[in-house]
Amino acid sequence: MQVEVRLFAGLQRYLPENSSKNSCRMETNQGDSVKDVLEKLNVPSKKLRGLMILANGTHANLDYVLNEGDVLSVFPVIAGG
Amino acid sequence: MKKIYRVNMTDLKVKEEPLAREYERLGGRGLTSSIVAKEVPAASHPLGSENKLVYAPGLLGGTSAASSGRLSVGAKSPLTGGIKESNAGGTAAHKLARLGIAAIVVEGKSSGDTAYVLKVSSEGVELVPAADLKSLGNYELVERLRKRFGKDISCISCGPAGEMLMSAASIAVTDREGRPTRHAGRGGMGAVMGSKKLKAIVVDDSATSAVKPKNREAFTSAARVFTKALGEHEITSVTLPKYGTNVCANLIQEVGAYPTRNFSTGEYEDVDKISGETQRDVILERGGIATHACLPGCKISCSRIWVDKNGNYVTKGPEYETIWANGANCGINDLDAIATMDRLYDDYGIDTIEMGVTIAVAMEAGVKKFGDAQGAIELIKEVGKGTPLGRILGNGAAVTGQAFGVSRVPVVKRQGLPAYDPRSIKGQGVTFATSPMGADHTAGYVVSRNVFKIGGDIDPLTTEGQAEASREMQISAALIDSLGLCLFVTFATDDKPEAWEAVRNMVNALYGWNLTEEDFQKLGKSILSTEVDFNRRAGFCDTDDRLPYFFKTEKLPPHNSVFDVSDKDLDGVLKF
Repeated sequence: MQVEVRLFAGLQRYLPENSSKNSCRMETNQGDSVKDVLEKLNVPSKKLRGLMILANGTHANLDYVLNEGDVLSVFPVIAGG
Repeated sequence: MKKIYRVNMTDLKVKEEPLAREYERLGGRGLTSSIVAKEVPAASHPLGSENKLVYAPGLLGGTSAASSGRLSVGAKSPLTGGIKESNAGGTAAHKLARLGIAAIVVEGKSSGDTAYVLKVSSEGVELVPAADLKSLGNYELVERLRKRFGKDISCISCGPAGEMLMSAASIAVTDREGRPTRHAGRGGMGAVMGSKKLKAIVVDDSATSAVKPKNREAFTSAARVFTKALGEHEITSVTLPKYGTNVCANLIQEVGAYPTRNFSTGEYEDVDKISGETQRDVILERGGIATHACLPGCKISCSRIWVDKNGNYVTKGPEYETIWANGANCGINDLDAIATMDRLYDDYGIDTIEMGVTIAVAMEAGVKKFGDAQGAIELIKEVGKGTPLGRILGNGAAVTGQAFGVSRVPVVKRQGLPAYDPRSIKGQGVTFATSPMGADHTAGYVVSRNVFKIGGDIDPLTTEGQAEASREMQISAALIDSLGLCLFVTFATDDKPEAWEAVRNMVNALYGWNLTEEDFQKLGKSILSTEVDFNRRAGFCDTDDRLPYFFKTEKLPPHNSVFDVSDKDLDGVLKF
């Protein structure tokens, strides 16, 4: 199935080549979690714990199991204002 | 022994007095609100002679504590009609504190035509007539003041907007480069300054040194713990220095709370063009400065310097709120245009948030089209000229909405909402509704719990826990604002209890006090109670602690949520 992955604030470097600036579409398997997807993108495991994850605009964690068409938005720890 | 200077603009006399015992434990917002609540008749006109404009560094001002140089300015607000404290970075607060000044209280009102400058130095405080400075924009004003009084002075000033008594007028404070870029923006403090015919305060702290703690060793050790925490937390040591305040544009967008085109949706299709990441890329490409401290002794450095395509200075930042208000909220996607707007605002001395909300309301009315950046710049120039249209706009979103018959006017207590839609970040909505300051994000930044998940995790889309979080954060904001600390230190102190304890230890070591955490909480609550009481006396009641009705009925895409925290919950927030 297909999901969209959006990476921000420096995490864009993990996007595959030929992606648009902040996002890419990815093929995933039934039952894949956020963690699985991020590992497919070669995000180092020590970075995974510190990430802020949204699935379709609401907060989710690394164990969240993806559905067809989900939009994942991933940030490092950030705050601003 | 700290001093207060009373500057009477009616008889043009300056009086020095020792800080009264009842104010000894107060600084910054605690001091400005206490003086205003005690000495300003709550029913008086904000532009009249009874209003008092109080400038105060925080309790930690003038010390080596990191990020402790905020300046508070307080008065009855011409915008809200209630009590107001507005604070700014820049160089003035540390200087005032080093001069032993707890507060400058500007009273009365000059009946003449001349503008005045207040000169503050170790030789004393004196009023100097300065007719030639009248109506100058802040940039030229500051250049002349530095030539006249010395290049190392700090300048606190009102621009033409304040002199024209517009309710959205700000007070500028010079930054470390000597430019008037840090503003006490919210609530029209610039108009109060202008009404008294005080054009500027210049502060010269040569021949002074850092404030000496009563217990130097304990202070140094606590300051070290505090600085270390700021240096270790990822947000204060990596994210903010690298991307600045605008780093959260993409995140607020992704949670569907980035108010777009006058709060009509929570997502802006062109956010990437104005995001923190893009801002940083452009600044670096053009040779601007991407990491910059707005006040001396700041360890976070979340500001930046924007230059044009040829590498020439335009303005600071701009900051997240400014880019949102004049960008997404107006449908404008051009950072150069927004930077031009920011420069004009700083020069005229006017609140960038209030103006962005106001221009969007004007766009909703059809005065200009959403997305028309040049049109927006024309509107701002009308404000600077003081034309009839400019006077409407310069008095804020509520006045503009009324003048043009707009029904979607996002204000509370007549102050424009900042960059978070309360339908998707409900905790922040509670602060907007209930803060004595009006719709204010720094007065209780629940976004931290709802979205950033710092110091707690509260779902932004349900009503549970929002009122309690807003109460807790309003108390802590009142405290931080009294200490002169930048609110951003709380990203570290909320996650690291030893850092928050170090703050209290610094205060105790500085003054020789023994405040407990309970004392700290009591102090925060009492400041809020003082402010709520003033507002009641000024005529506010429960129905003023509500969001505009459309937030309850108009579903906000993409979550299709409404603000549904109950009135009962809202009424309980500041009842201690």
